[in-house]
Order: sequence, then C-alpha cells, then structure tokens
Amino acid sequence: MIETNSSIDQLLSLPPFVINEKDKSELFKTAIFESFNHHIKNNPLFRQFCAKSNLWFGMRLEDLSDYPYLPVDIFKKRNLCSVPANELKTFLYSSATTGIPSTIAIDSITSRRQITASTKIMIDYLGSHRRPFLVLDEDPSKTPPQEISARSAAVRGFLMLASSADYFLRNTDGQLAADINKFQGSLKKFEANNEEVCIFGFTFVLYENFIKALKENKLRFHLAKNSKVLHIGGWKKLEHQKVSRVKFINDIRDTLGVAETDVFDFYGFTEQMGIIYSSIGDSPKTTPLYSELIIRDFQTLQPVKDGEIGLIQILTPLPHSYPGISVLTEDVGRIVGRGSDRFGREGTQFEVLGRAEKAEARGCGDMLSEFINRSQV
Amino acid sequence: MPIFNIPIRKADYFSWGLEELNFGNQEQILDYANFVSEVKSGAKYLQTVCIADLVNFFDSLAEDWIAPNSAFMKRYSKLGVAFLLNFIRKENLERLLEISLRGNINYIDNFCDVLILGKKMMAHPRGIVTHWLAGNVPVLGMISLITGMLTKNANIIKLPKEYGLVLPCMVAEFAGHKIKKIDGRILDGGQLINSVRCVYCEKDDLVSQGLLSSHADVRVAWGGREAVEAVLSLPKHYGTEDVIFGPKYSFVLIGRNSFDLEELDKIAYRLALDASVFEQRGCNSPHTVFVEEGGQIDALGFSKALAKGMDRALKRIPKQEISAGEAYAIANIRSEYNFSGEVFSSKGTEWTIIYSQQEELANPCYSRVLFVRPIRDIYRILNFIDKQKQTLGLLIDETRKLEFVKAITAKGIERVTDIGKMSLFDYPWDGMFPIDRFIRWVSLS
Repeated sequence: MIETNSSIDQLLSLPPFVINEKDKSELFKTAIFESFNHHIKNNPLFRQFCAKSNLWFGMRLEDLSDYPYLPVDIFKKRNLCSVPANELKTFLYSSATTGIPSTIAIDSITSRRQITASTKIMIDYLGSHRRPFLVLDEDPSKTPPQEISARSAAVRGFLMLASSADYFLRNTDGQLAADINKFQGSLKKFEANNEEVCIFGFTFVLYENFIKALKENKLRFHLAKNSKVLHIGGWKKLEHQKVSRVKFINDIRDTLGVAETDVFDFYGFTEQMGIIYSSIGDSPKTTPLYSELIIRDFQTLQPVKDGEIGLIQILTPLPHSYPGISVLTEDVGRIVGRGSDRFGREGTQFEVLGRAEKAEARGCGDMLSEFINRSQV
Repeated sequence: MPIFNIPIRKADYFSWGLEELNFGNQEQILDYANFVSEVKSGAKYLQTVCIADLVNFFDSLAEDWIAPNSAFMKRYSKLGVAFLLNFIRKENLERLLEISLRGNINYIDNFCDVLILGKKMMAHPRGIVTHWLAGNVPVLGMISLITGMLTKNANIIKLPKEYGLVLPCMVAEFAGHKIKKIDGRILDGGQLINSVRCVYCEKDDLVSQGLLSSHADVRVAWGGREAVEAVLSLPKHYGTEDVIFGPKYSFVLIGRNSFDLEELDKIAYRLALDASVFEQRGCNSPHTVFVEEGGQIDALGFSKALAKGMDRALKRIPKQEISAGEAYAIANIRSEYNFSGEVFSSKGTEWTIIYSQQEELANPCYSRVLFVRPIRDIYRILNFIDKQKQTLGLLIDETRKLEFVKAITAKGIERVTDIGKMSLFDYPWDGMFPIDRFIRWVSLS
C-alpha cells in the first residue's frame, strides 16, 4: 500500500527543525489526527482501548494531551498490529532491560517513514557528507534482517551516514570484549591522514571501555576537525561511577581531540524508532517537527508546566503498522524551552533526567512477583 | 564503611527530611563491642520497671499522641500510625502479653508459681535484640522496638535508608513523656530510651552487618526476601533467636451470598481502608479480591462498589506522594487492563480498581491498586496458597467458614480476618507469638 497526499508524508517532506511552534502545531495535529484515525479504524484492540476513554474514529482532539498514551510496557505484552500480517516486513525487539522485550511489527510504510525521519534528523546534526564510522559494537550485519534487536537497529540506522564502518567489540562465544589495540590503531591512522571520522557507541561502553583505556594509557589523539562522537543508551551506569556529563565531554576532548560541539548524545526508543533527539555537548535535546513532547506529573498524570519534572510522553504520527503514536516512557524529564534553541533549531527543548526507578522488590507483596518472574524464565 | 550511631533526637532530623537517611556528620562507632555494652547498661533501668508500669507508659503515650491537634499526628499521620496507636493501647498490650506469656504477664517481672508443674517460672529478656528494619512501613519498626522494650531487652535498631529517620524521631517522643508509677514514683521515658540505640550501615557492608549480627541475642529481620535472607546469612552466636518477618502476600475472598446487598458499600469501604492504610506496602495489605460467582453481587458489581469505597477511604487516609516509578507502574497497569478488563480509578494516581476475569492472584502493583476477579468456587483458592501467603480477608457464610479456614490455613494462610481488620497487627503473626521469641524461660523447682 502506498500513501498519497498523506498529511504525515507532507510533514515528513519538511525539514525537521525550521518550522516555528505555531506553524508546527497545525501541521502536527493534522498528522496525528490522520494517524490516530488510521489506528482506530484498523486496529480493533486499539479501538477498544480508545473507546474506554470515549474516543472514537473521526474525533479530532485539539489538545495533544487528550490523545490516549500507551506505556512502553504495553508493547511487551500485546501484539498491537494495525495492518494485515502479510504487510509486515520486520520485527524490532527492545533491549529488554526488564526481562521481556518490546516487539514492534514494522511494515514498509513505517519503515520508510522511520528512515526518512532519522536521515533528515541525522543530516541536520551531522551534515550530509559521509564519514568513516568507528563503531564501538559488534557488526550488526550478522543479525537476521527479520529479527532486529533495538541495539543493532540503532547501529544500522546511524550507519546510513557512514562511508565505511569498522567494529571494535569482539564477540567470542557470546562474550563481548573491547578491541582497544585495534581502536588505537584506527585512531592513529585517521589522525595521521587528518581524515574526518565518526566514533559511535553506547555511552557506557564508549567511556568505560575506550575513553578510560586511552586515559589510562595516557594517549591523546587530535582527530581531524569536524570529527564526531555519537553516543546513545543513557547515563545511569556512568552516574553510578560519578562521571558527570562535563567530565565525559572533557575526557573525550582530552583523549580524542573532539570539541564539545561535536559530541552528540542521542536519545530514542524502540517504540518510536526513527525519531531521535540529540544533545550537542551538554545542551538540552530538541524535538523535530515529526514529534512532540508532554511531561506528565507523577501524582496527577496531567501535563505539567514547562520546567517541572515528570514522566516523558512523546507523540509522533510515524507508526503505521502499530499504534505507537503516543507513548508514555519510563523516563523522567522536563521541558526547558520552546522555540529556537541555542543552535537555531526550532522545537521543544527538553532534558532526560533518568529512568523512573521501579518500586524496589522489598515490599511484602513482592514475594509473588519474585515467584512470577522466576516462573517466566 | 563504618557503622554510624544515629542519635535519638527530635529536632535535628526534621530539617533533613524524613524520606532519606542523611548520615553525614554522624558519629562513627569505632568499638562496636563497647557500644553494645553501653546499650546493655542502658537497659538496666528498663529492667527495674514492672510490666504494668511499662504498659501504662505506652498507653499514656497513645493518649497523648491521639489527642486532637497533637503534634505527633501532624507529623506522622501519613505513615500509618493509627496502626501503632492501636497496638500500644493498654488493652491490646495486656492481651498480647498474656497470650504470649502463658496467661500471666507477671512472669516478665518475677518468678511466679506454675501450679500444674509444681514449680516457679520467669521470663527473662534474651539480652540484645537487633532489629533490621524495612523502609516500606516505618511504623513496623516501632512495633518491633516496643516488643523488645516490653520484654526488657536492650534494643539496637539498624535503620533502613528510606524513611530511616522516622524511628529515631518517634522514639525521641518517649523522652519527654513521664507517668506516675504504681508505687507513686515517676517513670521517665528519657531513662527508658537508654535501652535503645539506632545505627546505620550499608547493606553490602558485610563486616559491619556481621558485627551487628554476631552481637545479637535475637535477630529481627523485616523486609523483602533478599533483605531477610541477607540477615540470615550473617554470622551469629550459638543460641541466637531469629524472628523473621519476611515477604508475604495477602488477599481477599468474598463468598457468594455472604452479605445483604445493603451492606455492600460498608464492606467495600472497609476493604478500601485495608488497602489504603500502608499504601499496600504491608505484608498484610490486600492486592487481589476474589468474588465467588453465582451470588447477588458479581466481581464487576463489587468492583464498582469498591471504587466508591476507595474514594471515601482517600478522604480519610490522604495518599502519600508517589515516585516516578510508582506513577509509571500505575499508568501502565491501567493501560494494560483497558485492553483486557475494566478499570475504575481516580483521576490522578490515588487509587485504581481493576476488574478482569483471570482466576489467579495478581502481581502486586501497590499504591492502592486492587485487582477484583471472579472465582468459581471458594475452594479454588487452595491452588494459590502456599507458605508465603499471610492474611486472607474473608467474608463467607458461617456454615462453610470453619472447614474452609482449616483447609486454607493447613496449606499456608496464617491469618484469616474479617474485611476491614486485615491491617491490624495481632497475634499470632507470621505463625508465631513474637513476644515469646524475645524472652528466655527459666524455672525454679
């Protein structure tokens, strides 16, 4: 099925960060309305879910916060498919930090939209010319294309801007190990050739296995100007080690010679793959035209004022094969600005402050959950 | 990491907030054996006080605390202290002491005749009772401590991180309280608390934890499985008694036609109170409510009544603020059951009733989330009972009750109560009479 004249495609045809807040509002609401109607019409489970909130096909909601949200965990428990099975192209699996992965069914429309969105966003941050990528992970090409983990999907997504890719985690009998010698060798080569390069990895792996090793060996490189460091995956483990963002950026500068404005911390999640958000150095992240953010209060679950902390909800009209158009994440954050950010990008600026801690397994009732968890292993 | 001595003082702690233990600037205990000796010495005064005076002291404290506009209630009303206030009333304490002490509370003061054995008996304190508290229900620590004091033991309390300052603050309230003893002299709470010390050390500091354990004559552990197993794995000396209040699950069963329809709202309200008292953090808090099919009220009808009851209970017991994780869990469970059941809830995160047709116990969510489910026959709950199930709130007709309760208690249930009484702390608890475990019986022939 190929869409024509879709307001979602029209949205995606526009650049991600140039439309001002007022103009975006109308475009975005129209696209969300179209997407919402598609899912309510084609997904009986979602229709039933919406009916519980008195929301029906054709009902246009003026306030984005009135669209119902699905917590990310729903995708671990339910097969929420909005297209016939024969239209599905692939399945995405989340990283399953809690034991059960989310399963996201992707059709060609969703896939095309994801690729369009992520390419436009990445080009906006990184430029369109391709660079060699030093990937601090294993080669994702070994994963069967029908079953893609979120991790390998992320790696594949970023490689769209790579002229070549080399990998620096070795997999030996299922154990991953950093190949620091190979990494140093590559850095020496690119430094000697003064060739721009892009280093990509998960935040903790990048710092713990590579940057710290360079520091310990007292190695300092001066990579070519405009070389980039891209990292994803969150800060929790580094926070436990008392590594602040400032220290992280300074250590990258000191070991690789990459400036703060070339260090990009990307945020995104499997349930809305394709939409990515980046910090430049220590700056907040900015929503692109293709998504909008709401922060919900812990006590009331209602939207909070800008600046206040709450659970992050993100809306995007992109998903076509599953109703992930309004997702409540487990992440805690706050909106810190609207309009043009300090780099000139239009959008809602926000900070991700961490993951909502699950209630500790110490209440008396946890005995049952422990038992249930064991029996599911 | 060292062991910290957390002084029992009132004023200082409030500026730190009650939620997290701030042990900056606290005194480190360099010689723990000496610290234990001091606490033992501190208990000498307690051991001179007769049990009747001790009971009167706590009863009098309850009188003060429960008074209208009392500072105590203002500070702690959100922490489930009604439960504590009931526990320390004279009538309750005397009842618990009597049942635990073979029918004569004076055994704790002196040798008393036991005619049937032709000898005298006395209940001595065991010595040092070390309490490892859980942060989930702070007032349980007070129950534990007062049990230790009534049995005239010296008490060392290893505070939890969460709500860790509640207990030293509450104990500090003893200091300002005095009563006239039976002999006319003054019983000074300030001297009583010399028998109590509060300490803190990290849970993974096995050296410090080992010190706490090896100097204990009774180890009392409250908390989840991991916490109590950690205490049990610590070194102890020969003869140390272990009193474990570990993880348990509680639920409710309503038999068909077990009440008149006009009682529905009252029953639902009582259940709502049971689920609201500790925000379902207690091992006696209900999570699942089974309604037997075939009666005048089905599970869905009961869910609706319970939703009204939860709203009423919220007015009586205001909701504590919840964390981001709890908020997400509530949003998540509501969404999940909007696909497969019926959800009745407050507008915010205050309470949630979830009706579904799954005939099984629900995984607890806490924060006033109750799962109401139909069950074909009351005996089918036997499939869900094991030794980790504690309290069953039961409402069935009397003709079926005794046989049914025999069957479920044989399988593992430890307490069967009326709905509305699940949250009370009573004896036996977790299969034992805790007072009995804090003393050492001796005899004189």
